[in-house]
Amino acid sequence: MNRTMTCIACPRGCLLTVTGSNDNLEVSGYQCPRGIDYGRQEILLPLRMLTTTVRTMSVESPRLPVRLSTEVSKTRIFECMSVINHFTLNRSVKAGDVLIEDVCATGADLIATGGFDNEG
Amino acid sequence: MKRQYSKRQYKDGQRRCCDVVVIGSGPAGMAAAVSAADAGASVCMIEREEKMGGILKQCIHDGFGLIRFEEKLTGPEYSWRYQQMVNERDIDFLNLTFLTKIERSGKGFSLEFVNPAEAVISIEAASVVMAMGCRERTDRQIFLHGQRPAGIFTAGQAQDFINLKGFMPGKRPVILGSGDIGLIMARRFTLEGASVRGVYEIASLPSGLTRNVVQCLEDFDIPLHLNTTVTEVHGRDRVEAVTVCRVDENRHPLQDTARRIDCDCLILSVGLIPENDILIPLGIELDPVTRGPVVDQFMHSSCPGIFSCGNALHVSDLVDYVSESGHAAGKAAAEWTKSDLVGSRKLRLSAGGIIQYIVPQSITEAEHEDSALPVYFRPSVPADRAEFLLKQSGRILYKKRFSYLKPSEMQRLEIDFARIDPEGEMPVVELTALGMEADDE
Repeated sequence: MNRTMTCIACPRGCLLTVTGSNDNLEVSGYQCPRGIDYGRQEILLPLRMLTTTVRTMSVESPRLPVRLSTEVSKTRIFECMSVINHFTLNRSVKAGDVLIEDVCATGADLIATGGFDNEG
Repeated sequence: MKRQYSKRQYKDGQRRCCDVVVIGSGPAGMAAAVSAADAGASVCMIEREEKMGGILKQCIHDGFGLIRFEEKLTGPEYSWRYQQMVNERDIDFLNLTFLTKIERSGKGFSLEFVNPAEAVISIEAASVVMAMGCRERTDRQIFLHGQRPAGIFTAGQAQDFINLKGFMPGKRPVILGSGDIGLIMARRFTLEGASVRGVYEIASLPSGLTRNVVQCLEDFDIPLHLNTTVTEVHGRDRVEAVTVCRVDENRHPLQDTARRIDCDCLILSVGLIPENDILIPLGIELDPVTRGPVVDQFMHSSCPGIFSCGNALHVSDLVDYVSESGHAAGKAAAEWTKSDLVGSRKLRLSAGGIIQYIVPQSITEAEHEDSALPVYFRPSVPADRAEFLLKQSGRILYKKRFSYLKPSEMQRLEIDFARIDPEGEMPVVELTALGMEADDE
């Protein structure tokens, strides 16, 4: 394998090259050791945070912002989105409340990042 | 929905007075109101929308608060923390209230507002913190030619539609400009099932943060076309296509590179302008580069009693710095009501080298100094290594080396202004590149 990527461990943005096999990865192009970790992680298991919104029953606040409780594999993002987009909130919640447990068996819960008053 | 215009009850005709009025309740305004209240001032915070939080309400992505709270929060979560702080204090909050006039009145100010409950209201205040944030440049401001069909939105408008209202402005957007909101909206459109046709940037470098280019575009294979711009919009009732052109080094379109890209909406992320029009009648000095007021280390403008912070002062990339300037402005505005710094001397900083701008732009002689105070600057060009110097009368008062600098990443440092001699010459800040970064992005 031979992949290039921009390291985002800091704003410098080194252009990394990762070569070798999964059990023997070689990272080059970094200017600090954080680049090595970033390059390896991006090849072995790239993780991303998913933030989106869910539908509510309210006319005034038709969407409530949500996020996953932990980062999940980059490859599972769209799968999670399709589950989240079929969810409608019909109760009052406060920020941090769990809306869906263990989304798509990723181990991450869907949590509200804002409050929602179903009565209002 | 419960609409609450004011916690305090006023009798008809009663004059409203307070020490500090804060205009805007985004991250800067909330921080200013909190620290002004903590400094003992009676505070009134004005918001034209229904809820506090400003733009954070629609910034549902994460990455906020790494410096301020040492946590990666989403916009609404960051905003929630400050709302709690506001609610815990005796801060009068007027929502759905719009500032229409601000005038000097004796030692303080007389402000006039409109709101649906009381029509016109006026408030007398000893000092005012301007925390109105910024607005987006529109298609009219970038000389975009062609027809004016429906389907041209700024990135922030698209963000409001998708994240707050649950509307998709289109299914096949073209994004012009690579500002952070544009990049974040490219990802947001993609997550919601749209097919982003590409991001076009007239400059040779993206204007947003590198981490947004990587996580919003590269992750989703969205092409970024540098040195390229949209030259024409097609479509009679609705956007049907745009023409894109590569540009030469003077940003003039190269007509033989023109291509037509089919799309159903055009999203603009072409810059932010601090919103300070209301200050023009006061004759406040504005910095032509930041387009915010010229301030001293206390965020005090050239008009005594008017303080500025957040994106109204200069456009920041990180909300943490917006809050920081809000705290500084709120505290100083509260102290202003008790002391009198009118007569004190202001020293203008002269900026040289590859500095694009520096905030504060001037230094006021002050008896007590909070040791080191934050200074924000942006370089005018990228530099791999650079040296920042503060000099006065030939003496070096402060020196710091930077290992990488980009115009898109604002820098912050702390300087002990007590070292500046108020009787001395004009202090000079200078940023010198020690090695240029290869222009290969």
